[in-house]
Amino acid sequence: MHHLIKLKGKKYMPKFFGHYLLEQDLLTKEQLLKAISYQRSKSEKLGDLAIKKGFLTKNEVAKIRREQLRTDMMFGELAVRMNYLTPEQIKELLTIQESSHIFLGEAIIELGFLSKEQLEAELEKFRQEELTESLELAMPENIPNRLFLTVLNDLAVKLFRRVADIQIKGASPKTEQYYTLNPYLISLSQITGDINGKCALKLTRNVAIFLAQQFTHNDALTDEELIGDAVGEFLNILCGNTASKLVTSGTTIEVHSPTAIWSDKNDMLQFDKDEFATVFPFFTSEGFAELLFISRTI
Amino acid sequence: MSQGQKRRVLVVDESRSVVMLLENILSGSEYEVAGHARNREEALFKYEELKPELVTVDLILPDMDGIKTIKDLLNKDDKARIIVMSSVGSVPRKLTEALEAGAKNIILKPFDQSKVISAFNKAFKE
Repeated sequence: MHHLIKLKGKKYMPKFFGHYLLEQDLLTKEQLLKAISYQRSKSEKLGDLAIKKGFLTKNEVAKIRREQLRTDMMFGELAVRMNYLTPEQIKELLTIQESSHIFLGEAIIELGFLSKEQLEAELEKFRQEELTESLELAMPENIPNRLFLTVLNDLAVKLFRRVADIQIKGASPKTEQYYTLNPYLISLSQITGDINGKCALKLTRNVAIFLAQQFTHNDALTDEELIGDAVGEFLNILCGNTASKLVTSGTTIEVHSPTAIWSDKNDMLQFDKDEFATVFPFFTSEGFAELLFISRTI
Repeated sequence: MSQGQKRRVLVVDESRSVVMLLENILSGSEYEVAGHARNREEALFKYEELKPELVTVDLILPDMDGIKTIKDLLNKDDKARIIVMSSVGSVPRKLTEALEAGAKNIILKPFDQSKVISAFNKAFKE
């Protein structure tokens, strides 16, 4: 009889923990895939549960699954969009599914790849690594996309330190409308999905050059195209890591390739008339920088 | 591979700065960057041209997603050693798909020298 192993009473397992274990050489690729497959086999699919409950027919489930292959969307979300199920029905099915669900860590233990003690120790290390460090300022309660901005901001501080050894002192966020001035380089990345807008890193010359040199481990880097590329890749990693963290809260976003905007060609970045930017000023030892999120007014 | 000869790596990534970073962190190791491809088409061409011992693939590429690139490279050469490099902006499911498609390992961005070398070494052990 399947016996659920509870890990220190915690209900939540970060979704990238498996890949963390792989990276740390604690699991082989084959073991990780086997554990994921085992985990999936224990969890009843939403479509099958919907048939059992009489919410959907087999044909309807097949139609949604075909659409899933085409769109790569989640079953529940598609079922609601296609008007086959209501959000309330999805909620009911998810509750049933959760009761039979096992976490990846539990699968790893059940398959004998790691002991419970080993896994819990690694989970603790992983959580410590993943802990976001908040700036000393508090994020205003009524700020739109609050969770996204909190994660983005916290990760920016962490990545500036980790990637470029730049210490950041932040200030309270502010709002800008119509345009923002370009001091040297603005790297801009479109975000789509559950949150839509543009992330931007606005850097003075010294900060951009320093960041690019640190990122590429090349102290002599002065080529502007490479500087733009490196800053863009930094922004890509920042937004990508933000997207990953948000997945665990049920928010899905896509990050698009960044664009470099140089001050000698565009000394300001203009917004559309219904757009505004939430701006996080950063003071660094190399100079001034800003992290912006540009979105439409609700 | 003869003694003293480095293992050659093809880097498939839109960003040149990632290539530069890899060149610098691999300097002094038994690996070297042999080539750079910015998209799937270039990756297939350069793989044929360079016959590298190892390939790194970013999951997000401009023309086609990285998983298709992995599959196409393995169709070309089923012994190709492919390692995914990702900023994890992709859905976690995609990382699993990449492994199922035949990638040997995953390196999450931002990466450091020890993780890269360790992942590269592992790819040759199998």
